[in-house]
Amino acid sequence: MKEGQSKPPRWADRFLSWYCNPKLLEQIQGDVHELFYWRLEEHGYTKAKKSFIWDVLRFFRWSNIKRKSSHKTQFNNTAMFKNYFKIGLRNLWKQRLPSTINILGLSLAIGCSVVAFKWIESTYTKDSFHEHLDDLFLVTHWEDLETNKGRAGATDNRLTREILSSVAGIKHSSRYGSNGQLETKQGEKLTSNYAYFVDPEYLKMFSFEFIAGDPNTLNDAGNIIIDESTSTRFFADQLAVGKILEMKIGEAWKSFQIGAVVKDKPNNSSLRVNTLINYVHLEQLYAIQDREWSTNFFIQRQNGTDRSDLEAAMNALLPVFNKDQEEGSYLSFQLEPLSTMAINAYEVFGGVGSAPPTAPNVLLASIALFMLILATFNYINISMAMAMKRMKEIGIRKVIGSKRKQLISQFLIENFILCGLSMMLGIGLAAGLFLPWFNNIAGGDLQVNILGHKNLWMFLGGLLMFITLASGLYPAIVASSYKAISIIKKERMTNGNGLLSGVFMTFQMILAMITIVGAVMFIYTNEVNQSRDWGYDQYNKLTVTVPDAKYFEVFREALEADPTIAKLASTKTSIGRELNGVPFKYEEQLNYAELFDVGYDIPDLFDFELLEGRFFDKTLASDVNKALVVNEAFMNAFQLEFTEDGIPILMDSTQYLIVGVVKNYHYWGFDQKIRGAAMRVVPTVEHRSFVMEMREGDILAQRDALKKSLSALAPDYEVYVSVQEMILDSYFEDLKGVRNILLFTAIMAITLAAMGLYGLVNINVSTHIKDFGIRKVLGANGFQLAQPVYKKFRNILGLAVLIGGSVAVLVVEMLLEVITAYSAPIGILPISGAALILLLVAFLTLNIQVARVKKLNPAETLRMD
Amino acid sequence: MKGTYIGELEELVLLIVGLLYQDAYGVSVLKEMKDQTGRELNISAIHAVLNRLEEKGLLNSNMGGAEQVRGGRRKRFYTLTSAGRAVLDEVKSTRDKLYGQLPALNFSV
Repeated sequence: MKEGQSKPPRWADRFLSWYCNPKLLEQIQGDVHELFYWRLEEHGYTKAKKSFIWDVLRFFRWSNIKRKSSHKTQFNNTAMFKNYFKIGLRNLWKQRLPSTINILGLSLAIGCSVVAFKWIESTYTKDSFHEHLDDLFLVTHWEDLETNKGRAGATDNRLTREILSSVAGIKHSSRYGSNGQLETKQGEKLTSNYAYFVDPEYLKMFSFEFIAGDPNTLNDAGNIIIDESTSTRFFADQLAVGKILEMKIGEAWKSFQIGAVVKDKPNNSSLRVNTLINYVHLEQLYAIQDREWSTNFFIQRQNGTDRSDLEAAMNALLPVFNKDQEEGSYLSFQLEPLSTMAINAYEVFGGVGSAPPTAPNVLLASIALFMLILATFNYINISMAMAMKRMKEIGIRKVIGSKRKQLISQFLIENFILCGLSMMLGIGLAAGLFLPWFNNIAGGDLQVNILGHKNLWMFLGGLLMFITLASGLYPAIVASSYKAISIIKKERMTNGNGLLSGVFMTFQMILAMITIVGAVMFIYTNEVNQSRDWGYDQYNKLTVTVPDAKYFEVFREALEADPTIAKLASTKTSIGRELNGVPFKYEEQLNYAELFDVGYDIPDLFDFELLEGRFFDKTLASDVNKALVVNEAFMNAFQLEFTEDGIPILMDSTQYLIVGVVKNYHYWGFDQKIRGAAMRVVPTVEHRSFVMEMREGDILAQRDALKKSLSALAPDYEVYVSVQEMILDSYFEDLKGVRNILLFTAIMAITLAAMGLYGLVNINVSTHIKDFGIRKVLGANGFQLAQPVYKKFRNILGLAVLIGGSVAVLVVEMLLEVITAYSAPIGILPISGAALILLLVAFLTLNIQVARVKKLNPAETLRMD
Repeated sequence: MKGTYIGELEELVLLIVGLLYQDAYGVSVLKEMKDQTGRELNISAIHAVLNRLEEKGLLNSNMGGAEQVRGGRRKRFYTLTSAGRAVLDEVKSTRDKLYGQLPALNFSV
């Protein structure tokens, strides 16, 4: 017998091993082998071999192949997971302090992210609250005009009528137009008020909430609809429906009855309400003015109508329309869905709504991301350290037969519990604390309504998954990677873990450092800007706007007689309150600059610092509408050198003469660089306001007194008197919001970093507690005890201050450039200030643990051994 | 219930497992079947029947008895459960009862 002939054919044997379920393989293979040798003896090799092959082929059936046998390997998964949960909760409780730190840190970060998400989402889901959202469109078209090549959001009024009469599939439509603020009289009170002209179907299309009155009230052109805040403004708490408002449309006063009151528009609505008037009034106005006009035009399609069909039908009207028009070059129509109208607003000329703001969104998103990164790093660090304390558990589980996958899933489940808890706490924080506070700053009305907010659900779910994996996967994988034998032999765990946690800690400290420098710098810049020289004397100045031309002389007489007024000047433009950019042309150069129309005495009254030339001269009639007093920036923009004869310059094809140059002055907030600005004298008949320099005294009291005396002269009007030195107050007020956000971020970042440090030191000390005990027994004093603790974190802090400081300079400079055009240079002071804050916090954090070590009774810790 | 009725081959295998007592596994059942009934079955059929009977709860199994000839692989030993025994008893009594009712053959035409 040959050697090979005493064994079953190898290929068949291998085939069997390959297809057979490993759990069944042993018995089956054993049986066929046994049979083979039995047949070998009985019938010889050839028969045995054939039978063997036949047996193997006969075993090739699904019940032997399938890997999961239903009745033999049924794990009790629910029990296992229940067990994991229980162990997870016990572990959390056992390691209370680190767990609390983890949960707190994560929930703070989650709270921030929820706020950021809500804000960003709200800017991207404008107008989403309308019931018929899917069927509502703004009619836009592509045009090719001198003035606009591209897409336009306003349609020729005649075309809108044609569309309505000849395009099928439009259920409702409404034009939407405004004529600015309308003067509005209620009884004797006269104010101005925004109004929008719409067709009666407007409120059928768009879902604004009615408080009182008839939704169809606009069908009567004599009725109007107002919103809640307008109602409150005019009628306080009284019911507004049925009351009368008079409004001046064009030159004509018209009387309207209020037919309904609606709730104020939601913050995310591009369409406004204020006061809604039937569009026929605007039509009448334009008819009087004898002009053609374009208007925003919204349509609601009939259910099931295709958008492209509508567009095609509308385009069919264009050849006829374009022929009649001289410049009408409508290329094609495009219906813009209401849901994307705001997002696409940037490309539609004369459309409705505005695109989401990039800068605040990026800022908020990065803050939220910062927080998440910080918290996650904290988490990884602390849970790594926590896992190290549980090495024995891992070892024993492994010995008993846990697979690595099971260990990882156990760790992840524990992590999931912790993240879930943090999430709940985070949502609570966001809803109860962060969002109201943020609304306060940003003037929003964001709320966390978890139920029925699908996007938020998805975001939270995604966030939970992300955090669970981001923070838990690495510790789980590392902890489960140790060999049981080395754990039980208590070999030293060296897995570069110390390095990694050091890197994470350093990174956290760097982030903290950056945010602190950011906040410090921002506050510092604001301080500097608040005391910055405006380039003119803004103190003791009051400005009063004359409500109507007929009162101009009356006011002048009264003001001239007022003993508290030192100097009086009249003007058309109020410097600091209005901008008027116009193109100037010098030879071939064209530059935009601000043009202020002022009276003769304004430059002198504001005490502009004259560098060259002269101010306006009253004795020279030629100065009127001719002479310009410009600032340095103007001269620089055109690269001009001043000459005594004046420099001729063109604006709107009129020749002007630059007669004087003044030092740059801030005619606007500090968020804009000073550019060229020119003052031009205009005749007194055009003047609409007075500027007064007051004698010494309380400027606010003087303002109120003046307001009172002037109001008496013009009883039908509201007279406004404003204080020049306060015109930037609202700008600084706005900046306070940003400052608070930055401060908050810095505080959060440092809190998180400190918590992370605390947790790490705490675990570090706990694992080496015997070490400290022995040192104490051997007579170490407080300083010597503290040394190893400090030593471990000294380098981290040093590195963080170094890197963080330099990165902060770059990042913060960029940030400040976006927010304010005039930032103080980042000096050594804010950076060292930030470093000091960071070191102080770190020192205090470390000291809590050092104190614990100092107070420690060595007997307690060493008793066990 | 599904398990209470068994086929003819199942009944035979069950009986053989019972009579082999503690030495019933794939190959021994196959050999016994051949010796006692002359039926030559494929080993995979025996396995399938044994599995099915175990699924029905008429047999128990456990691994053991590695042998050199099997390359050190263990066998899966089967033993009769009390349910299995009860099924056998019932089958037999049914057969006996039916058999007893056969009319006696009459050769005196």
